[in-house]
Amino acid sequence: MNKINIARRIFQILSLVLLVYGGYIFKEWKESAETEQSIFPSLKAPPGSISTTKFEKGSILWPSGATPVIENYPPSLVCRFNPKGGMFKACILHFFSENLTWQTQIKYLLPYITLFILLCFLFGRMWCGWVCPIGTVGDFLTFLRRKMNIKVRRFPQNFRINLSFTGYGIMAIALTISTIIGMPNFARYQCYWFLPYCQICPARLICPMFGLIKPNWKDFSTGITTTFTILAWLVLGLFVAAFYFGRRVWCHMCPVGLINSWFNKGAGVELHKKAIKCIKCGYCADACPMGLTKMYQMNNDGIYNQNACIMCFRCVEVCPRENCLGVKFFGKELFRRKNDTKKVS
Amino acid sequence: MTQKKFLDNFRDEIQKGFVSDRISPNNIAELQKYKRKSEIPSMENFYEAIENFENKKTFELEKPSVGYFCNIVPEEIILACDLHPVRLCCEDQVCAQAGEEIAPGDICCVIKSICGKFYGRLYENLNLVIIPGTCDPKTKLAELISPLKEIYFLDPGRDSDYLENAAIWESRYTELFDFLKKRFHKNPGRTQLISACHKTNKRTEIFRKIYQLRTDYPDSINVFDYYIMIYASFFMEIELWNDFAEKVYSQALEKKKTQNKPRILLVGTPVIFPNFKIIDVLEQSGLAMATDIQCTSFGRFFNPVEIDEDTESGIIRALALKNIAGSICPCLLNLEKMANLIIDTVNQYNLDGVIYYNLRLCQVFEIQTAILRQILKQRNIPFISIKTDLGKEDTGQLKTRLEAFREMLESHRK
Amino acid sequence: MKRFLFLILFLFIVFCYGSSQIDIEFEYPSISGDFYVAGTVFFPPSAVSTSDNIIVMDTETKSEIQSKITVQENWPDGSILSAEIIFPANRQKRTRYAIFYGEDVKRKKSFSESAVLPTVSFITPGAGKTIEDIDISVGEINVRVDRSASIRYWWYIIPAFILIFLTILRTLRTIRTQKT
Repeated sequence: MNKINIARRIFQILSLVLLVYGGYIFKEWKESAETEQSIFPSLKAPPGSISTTKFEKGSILWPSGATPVIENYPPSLVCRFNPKGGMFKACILHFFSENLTWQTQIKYLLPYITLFILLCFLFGRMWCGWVCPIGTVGDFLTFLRRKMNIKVRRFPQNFRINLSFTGYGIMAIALTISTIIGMPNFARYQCYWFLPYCQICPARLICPMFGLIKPNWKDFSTGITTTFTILAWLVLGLFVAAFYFGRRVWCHMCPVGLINSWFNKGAGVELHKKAIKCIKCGYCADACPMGLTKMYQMNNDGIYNQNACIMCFRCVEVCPRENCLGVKFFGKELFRRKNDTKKVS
Repeated sequence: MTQKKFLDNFRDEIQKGFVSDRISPNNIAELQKYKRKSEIPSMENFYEAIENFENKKTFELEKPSVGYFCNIVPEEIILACDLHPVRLCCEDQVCAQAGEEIAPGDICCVIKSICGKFYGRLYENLNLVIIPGTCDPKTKLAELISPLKEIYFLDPGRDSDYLENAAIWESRYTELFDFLKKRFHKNPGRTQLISACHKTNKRTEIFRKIYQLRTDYPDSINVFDYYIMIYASFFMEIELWNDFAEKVYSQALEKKKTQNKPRILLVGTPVIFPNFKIIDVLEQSGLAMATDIQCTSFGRFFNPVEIDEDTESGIIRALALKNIAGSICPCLLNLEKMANLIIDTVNQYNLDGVIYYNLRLCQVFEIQTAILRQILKQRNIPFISIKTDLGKEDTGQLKTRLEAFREMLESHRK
Repeated sequence: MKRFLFLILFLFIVFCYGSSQIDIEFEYPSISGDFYVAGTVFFPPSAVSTSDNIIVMDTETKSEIQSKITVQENWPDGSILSAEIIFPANRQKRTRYAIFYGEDVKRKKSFSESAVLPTVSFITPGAGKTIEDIDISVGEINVRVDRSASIRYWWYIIPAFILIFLTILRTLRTIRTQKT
């Protein structure tokens, strides 16, 4: 009955294992030497700039420095703080933040950005719904809540829109700080303000725990680190509450998800609706983990991709009408909602 | 909403006035007539069940039984409380005449026959009756029969829009669930709710198979057998019904044969057992009823319960969506849905025409006729509206009209 | 879509601004008044083609300082390997200096040593290291210098912009179907 959902769960777990434990599984594969002929140039901190490898044990941005298997940035929340460096290097926000501080020339970033755009263009926010390890952790929290029979909190539309504005605000502040500390006169602030979003991101605290490494819960050495520590606790609390009491509420304000969401309406994966089949039963809107209602409200045929949609296809799965909702990939039909009984002929 | 007691002070006066003699409708002869037409051996089970029910005239069950009307009342919640749900919708000529005493004049004949059954003491063994406030006659019915039976009044509102009303529906259903738990001293949780939903989903699965088979080969299960099965589901144990229906389906698969009659879609008020006049006439005038859009069959069975949040409140919400948001009852705001559904069904199964069947004096069905006719006319779908009542006087006239319709369909085909 | 264009503009401005930089360190002499600062700076291959692409900046006021630059050695491909740089400084106006070089800087202020003043030599910590390699095969002396690296990465702007263009087109189409 719930074939898509089961497939998605399996995919989520597999990608969590790959992305988080990739450092253990593929440790032989690690790229040893960067060659000049590589498509992706190696991005290193210029002399005088700080990089995560310079942080010592005890500071907020430790543990780090372990090299990942592949030095690249997929459009999902794969964290720098995964045990043994993980499979990929970091998330795209880390990439922008780091290189703004280092003032890397744009030509060296182009291959990375092109790959990111390509992946987002093909699959949109499917990366959030099907791959993101932090989303998987959140879904596990939701699973726990369901088992404990606690009622889901449904947040109104306006609240969710405001959450995404909050996310944009956080992203803008983080990128601005990264730019400022990259300027020559502000280099001495780099040791405190480097990667400002990473310092409060819940993934920084959650990811090391997969490898049974104690994350840096606290650093009270200076005022700035104390502030960041407390902010990180607050954000982690918000994260856990968002997933435990709601469903994927956090994803409305995750900056990486917000970057992915710009590609969502133009993505290769399209959700289609045939309006004449719809009986307005509300199953699709009720099952949507992001709380979107557009596909329920739409009264005409067409594509109903939305910015916040994480492409879990739960709506397609629960729709009781045959052929009403469907998923296409660049116009080619992947699957449609079928009735449970086959046509007798 | 708590349980309300209407006319409690006047109980004795009303009982003295009306509850005097038992009425005894006799539909066994009618039943035998349809049984002879049946070609499927397993249908025996359903006929037998109805025969037993008609002979006893009342319910004798081990579990406490709860009567209800309408799809709006969630059967699954009653099942989860380990009670026996009995759907009391009834279209009986004898009962309707008896009910004239309580509800006289141009009132919905379904309400009349229900009144007749209650005041004729046919439903003595029921422990509770749940009445939804979907249409005006049902709302009044709650007051009319409250001196005789314990009533729970369930008001879901008249708007079927999910976004605005889902929370209200959920709270109404939760109140009903809490009331049933308290009233019958049961303590069901989410596992009971889930297993109840699985039972009805199983029924949906079988029904969909039969529905699909009948759209392609209307003669595989004849129309009387189809409605007998649906009537049997009103009071039979759900697992028993599932087993029997599965058998009927497997035997009907062998019987499928192509036929050349025009296949039509029957839309409108429900067809319930003793009142098979419309399908009788359809059969005689050479039309094959391929599918139907009616609340007792399609509306009740077609949508499964899709449990997304498997918490208690989540399941109750899913039930609300199935029963109210997906409802096709014209009492709710859903004319667009109805038009979509008719056009889509006709296109999908390639049907020849639509018969809009209206049991006289159901105003909500009557009001939307003109609009539907206009919509379907624009799309070149043949449409006929039939208005009748429980009496058999107009059978000849109906037959003439439907024969003319058939000829029109046949010429339309060519 | 507005946000999208904004991000691209933002990134473009920020990354184009960043040219290569060498910090200068020297000790202020105990004399008062003006003095010259001089020293030799090494550049990576293919980085600077003429001496006009090297400037001295006052990093605190962000203004260019007049300087005299004499090319001393060249790389085999013709670009500058080392150059002697002289510029004036004053003890009363203590500040920090840096050398910027690259194709996107242009020297505007040059000067000649008109007065005879004391000279202090500077050091360039961290500079002079080159990331890029040169192969030199000895025998029949044959020098191969990879100059393509800088151009090669710019080609990626074509697929990136095609993809962005397609995304915008498809987004507009989606919005159109949702509106009607």
